[in-house]
Amino acid sequence: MQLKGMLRHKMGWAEPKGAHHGVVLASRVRLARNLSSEHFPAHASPSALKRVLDAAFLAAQYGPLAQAAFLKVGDFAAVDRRLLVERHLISPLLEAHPAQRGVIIAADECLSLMINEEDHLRLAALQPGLSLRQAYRHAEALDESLETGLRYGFRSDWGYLTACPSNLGTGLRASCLVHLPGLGLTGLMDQVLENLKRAGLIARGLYGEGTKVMGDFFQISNATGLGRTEAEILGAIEKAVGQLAERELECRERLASGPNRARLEDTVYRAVGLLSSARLLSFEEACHHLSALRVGLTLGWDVPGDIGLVNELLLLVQPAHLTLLAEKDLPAAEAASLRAALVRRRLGKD
Amino acid sequence: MICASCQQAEAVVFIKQLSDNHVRQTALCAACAAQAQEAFAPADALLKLLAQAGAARPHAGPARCPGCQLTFAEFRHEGRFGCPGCYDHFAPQLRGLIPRIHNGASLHRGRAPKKAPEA
Repeated sequence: MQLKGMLRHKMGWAEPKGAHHGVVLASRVRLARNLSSEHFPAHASPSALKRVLDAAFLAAQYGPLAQAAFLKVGDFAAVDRRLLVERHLISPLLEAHPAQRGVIIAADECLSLMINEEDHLRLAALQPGLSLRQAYRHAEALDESLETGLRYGFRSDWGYLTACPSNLGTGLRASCLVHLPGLGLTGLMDQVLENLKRAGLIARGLYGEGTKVMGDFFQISNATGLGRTEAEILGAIEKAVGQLAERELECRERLASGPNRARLEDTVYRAVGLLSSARLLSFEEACHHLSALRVGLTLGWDVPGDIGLVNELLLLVQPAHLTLLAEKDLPAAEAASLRAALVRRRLGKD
Repeated sequence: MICASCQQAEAVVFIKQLSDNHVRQTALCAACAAQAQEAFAPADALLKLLAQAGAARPHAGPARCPGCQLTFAEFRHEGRFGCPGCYDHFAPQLRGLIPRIHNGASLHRGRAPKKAPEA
């Protein structure tokens, strides 16, 4: 079974809309939930994992995911699983251990349910721009629907019980995917990271757990979910990310209007030149230059494309997306060639 | 760019590790990144905290969780529980530990499921 059809879908959360969308690509809310009667997945037998998978699929047949795609991760080839990781729909953990794991995905990919990850259920809602509260409303609606059919592990003193005690309480991780090239270019990134840490927030990469960061794209999220209400957690992150976005825009404006304008122009227009003309593009190179092109677009400069297209290209140039596009395994050189051709074509330069 | 770990496949994940407020960068292929992800987990702050707590805190109650047979020592090593029942079984040890994980917070203040089982 192949997921090639997903390449044609536009992901609702990658659209350039919502507050601060020049800096905040997307807002994501994740809720961790577990069934009270089953071992956590890392300690569960294959038959127990299957029971959880079946129960989750049954419970999700009603409610917000009723029309969604119900996928068993073990049914898919490695390249399809990688595609799901690249689209942030499953974690690398599910990719590596697909047996009796599942994911349910709404058509616009803005709402999904991962089954048998570290916890039995990981509900995820994504929205474009800085819109955590809206994302939370979607996740909460799914949560309310699922809990009518499932009995969650819960204590009134410690909240939702999770495999890792750091997720205890609300089970909520709210995060914003932010683009911070201005802070990077002005050398302020380390200071910003320190301030975030003091505010109880953490910076991660695009793929969830761990500290992976790709290019100038960071994921800012809450460190803990116990002791505060969901609204308090969401409000604190929205406030911090809003301030971060304003600071990033100030940096971009300062770079664009001050003595360093020529340096920034050179970075942006070199990127345009490479993206428009290169015949071979590595993944890293494409991300780096698309990041620079995105800066030029947010400053209103005369560069090709639009922010929505750049958001889309950042996903499409990933290796599994190219493999499915080509319908065959690609050696690195062929992938680089296809990537370059795809970027040129979408930017209208071919 | 070639993966810094295996030196063979194309790098697709670019890791900037935050350490002492400095960003260190490396590039890995998908397979090596997945391995690195697993390697990151045991190194996290939670496990360090658990090791410190374990050294100072005597154990209470029966050694194994009756639901999943996990011992508190195994939890300290892995940083993960075996089943929701572990929270009841190891509650005496956890009452001091949970506020240390959650910046001093010890009580849930968020929403509750409509049919919550009470511990």
